[in-house]
Amino acid sequence: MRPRSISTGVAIVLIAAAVLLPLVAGDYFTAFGTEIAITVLMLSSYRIIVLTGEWSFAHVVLQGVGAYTAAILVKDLGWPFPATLAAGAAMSALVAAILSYPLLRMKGFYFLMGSFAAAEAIRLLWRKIPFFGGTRGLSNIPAPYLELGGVSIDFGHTTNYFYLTLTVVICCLLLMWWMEQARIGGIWRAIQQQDVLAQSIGIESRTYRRLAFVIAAAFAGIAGVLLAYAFGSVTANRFSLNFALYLMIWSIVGGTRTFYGVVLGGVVLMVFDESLRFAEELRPGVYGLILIAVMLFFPQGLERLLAPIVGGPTKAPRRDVVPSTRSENA
Amino acid sequence: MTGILQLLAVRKAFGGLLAADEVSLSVVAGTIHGLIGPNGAGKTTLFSLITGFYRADSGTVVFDGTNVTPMSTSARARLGLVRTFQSNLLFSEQSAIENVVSGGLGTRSRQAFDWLFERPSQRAAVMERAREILQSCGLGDKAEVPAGSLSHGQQRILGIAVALAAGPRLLLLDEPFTGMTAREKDALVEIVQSIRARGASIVLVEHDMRAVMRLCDRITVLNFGKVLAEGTPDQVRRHPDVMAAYLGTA
Amino acid sequence: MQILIDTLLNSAMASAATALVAIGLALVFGVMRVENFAHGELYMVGAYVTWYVSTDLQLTYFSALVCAVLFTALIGAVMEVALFRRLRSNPVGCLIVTIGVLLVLQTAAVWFAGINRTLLVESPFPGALRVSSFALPWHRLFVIVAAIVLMLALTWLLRRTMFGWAVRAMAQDREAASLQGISIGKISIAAMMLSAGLAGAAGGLMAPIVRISPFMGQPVIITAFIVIIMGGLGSVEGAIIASILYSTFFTFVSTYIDSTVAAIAGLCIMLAVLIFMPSGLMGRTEKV
Repeated sequence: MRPRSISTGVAIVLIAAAVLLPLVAGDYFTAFGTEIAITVLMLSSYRIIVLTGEWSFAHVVLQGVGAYTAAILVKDLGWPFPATLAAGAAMSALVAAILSYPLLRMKGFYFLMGSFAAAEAIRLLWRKIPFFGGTRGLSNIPAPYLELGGVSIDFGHTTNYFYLTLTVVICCLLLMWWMEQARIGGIWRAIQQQDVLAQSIGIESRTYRRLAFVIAAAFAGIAGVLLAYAFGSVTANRFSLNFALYLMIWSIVGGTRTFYGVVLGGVVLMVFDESLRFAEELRPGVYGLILIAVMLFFPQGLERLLAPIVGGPTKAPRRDVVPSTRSENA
Repeated sequence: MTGILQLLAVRKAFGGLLAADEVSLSVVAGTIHGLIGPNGAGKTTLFSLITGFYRADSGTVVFDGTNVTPMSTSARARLGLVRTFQSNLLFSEQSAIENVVSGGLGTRSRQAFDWLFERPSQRAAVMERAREILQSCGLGDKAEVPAGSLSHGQQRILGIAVALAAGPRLLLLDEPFTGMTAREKDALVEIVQSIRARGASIVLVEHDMRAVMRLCDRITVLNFGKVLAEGTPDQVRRHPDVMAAYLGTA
Repeated sequence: MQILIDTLLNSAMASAATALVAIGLALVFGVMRVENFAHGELYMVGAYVTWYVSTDLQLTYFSALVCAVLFTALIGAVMEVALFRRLRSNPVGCLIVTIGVLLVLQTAAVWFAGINRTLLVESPFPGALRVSSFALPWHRLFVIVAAIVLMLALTWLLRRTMFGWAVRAMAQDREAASLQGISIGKISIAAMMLSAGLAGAAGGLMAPIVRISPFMGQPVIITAFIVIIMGGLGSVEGAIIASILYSTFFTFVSTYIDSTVAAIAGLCIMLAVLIFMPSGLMGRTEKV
């Protein structure tokens, strides 16, 4: 139980640090904290897909689906924040469910390219169709505003919005953590480790891969809604291939084996990313070098370095290609 | 001749090679049925056709009165048609006990949202059952050992334990004795017999003739994708075609 | 009428350039089972080297082109030796390091020449061929001819030489190939150099026509992936045929309708191929 109590401790320290952030930092860093929280949500939901053994390029665009949904609902119909949050999640999940039918017939590289094609086509449609604001996107999204029994909170204020985001993200993380402990998490891991064996003991792997894809999309949709309000605007370029690549890179560099790995990795990398801002143009190159170094020297991600401290699997996991059943003994 | 498993004129070709040529056979419930034949006779193909890893070109596979021919592997497994693998296919990142728990993931109760909500009492029952299975396979003291650190023979047996966790009514064992020491083989013979004693039927593909003759109630001999002979071990042993095609050259 | 002639010529040129890039991608996938996402950046590097040698070093365009091919081939060799060789047992790892290389090369280009500079390469063939009232720019014709010559040379290499035999053997079955005494390492380096050199050549050929920027490789790699998926992963012939079909389609749609529509249509075609014909136009997947 010791490792678990340590990771609980780490979680509490992280949350405490997050709660205290606006008190010690200015608006700039608080807004940055909001971005970190949204990124952590993206990374940990992306991990659900990775947990089933696939890499997707569509996740960022599914975030965009949530963002556009919220922007349109709040601007055109004046829906309140909680309703747009739910609608964003539902819409992303719906789009993912539709996409999953063709996409989940593919695996590995084919799935990666298929997810890219579908996502990029959707993104280009946003740029093309005036309803979605074309290349300029949608702007002037009003900040959420709470008026309840004399108490009114304006979430347009950076600190207030940060706390709102933090609350939503922590709820989502708890939900995901719980799912992973439940049977569905075990099933996802079984599929990732040995798809063939999983099928032979009665796990319909495509169904559960689809479920993972859709659930992950719902959380991405929530991250999208949060992003739309945070920036006050939505543009198609925010969901381009570059961001999909970064999501993938961060998952790989941070490691996706454990829940804390993604969260911690997300925080560290965002801070690192911010500290590279003075050399904006060189940033991609630095990431490239890190990615190459990690693949060559720490193929399981940097979380392996922390594993002995915070707990988690100590045995080197095998990610090699599944040796499929021998086709014929000829 | 009603059996728990029936193959009716099952045919499968790979290019020009007929790996299963109108194979018909019937496995009687509660028996251990051997499937033998020289290399390339089509045993593994037939195995894959029974479990749904391959789809037959024609013919039907009936399991316990249900036509499972169009079903996926996992759907067949949920009906109780579970296989093991020639290679040691395990959830290698997990310990032995976790492997057995994982083995039951697909076939545990399938009520709505059960995959999300599981009461602690349910979980305890699952662990208890996994322990029992490990115990019955003689791996009780290896529960916490990572699957990858077990010996080859232990991994083979763990593979069977994982399959048992899925609750098979017909268990298909693919060359379970391969690479085992004599002592492990004896232990496995007992394990297989105890599985049958608890009510499951077994189909066994095996090269080790001694083990096959010792264990099986009935044996089907395949050669070039066709059924060459079928009968009790004694009948098969004396069958002239079999001696010519298989035992004589072995 | 001039528009139609222009579009036809542009289609042919786009087909030629795309084919040069896609062939290399298909070749490397066939031989090494590596999906090289940095391949578009090799094209970009080819254009940069051509620009640098022909303007800053003031050498002729043709020597610049040769330098581009040699330099990109060198990068290819380095990628094979330093990265792919060490990750042979880890196909996903290979794919991911190529993304790393992509980012590094892009950044190197930014650092080398800046983002907002306009880089001009002068073509050795200025002007246009006039046929009655139509103008066919000479350089575009040159690109087409050069690409055809390169492809013929490659076909000869793959069909008639020991190298080609080894490449085809490796594409079919790596283990069997190594049992026959084929050196996996040597052939992999050669294939990677050839592939990178072709991308560099394409970049150099297109340098006088396109806008040179650090990010010019991205649309190219996307097109190349669409094309090799259409053609059947690893099939060189399939890549050529698909390049012609796709580039012609894309050029016509973007000229007569809109380039975004063309891009969306292209992506949908790729998706349709992935769904309905996962082995592509040329049937089998395992083929060079």
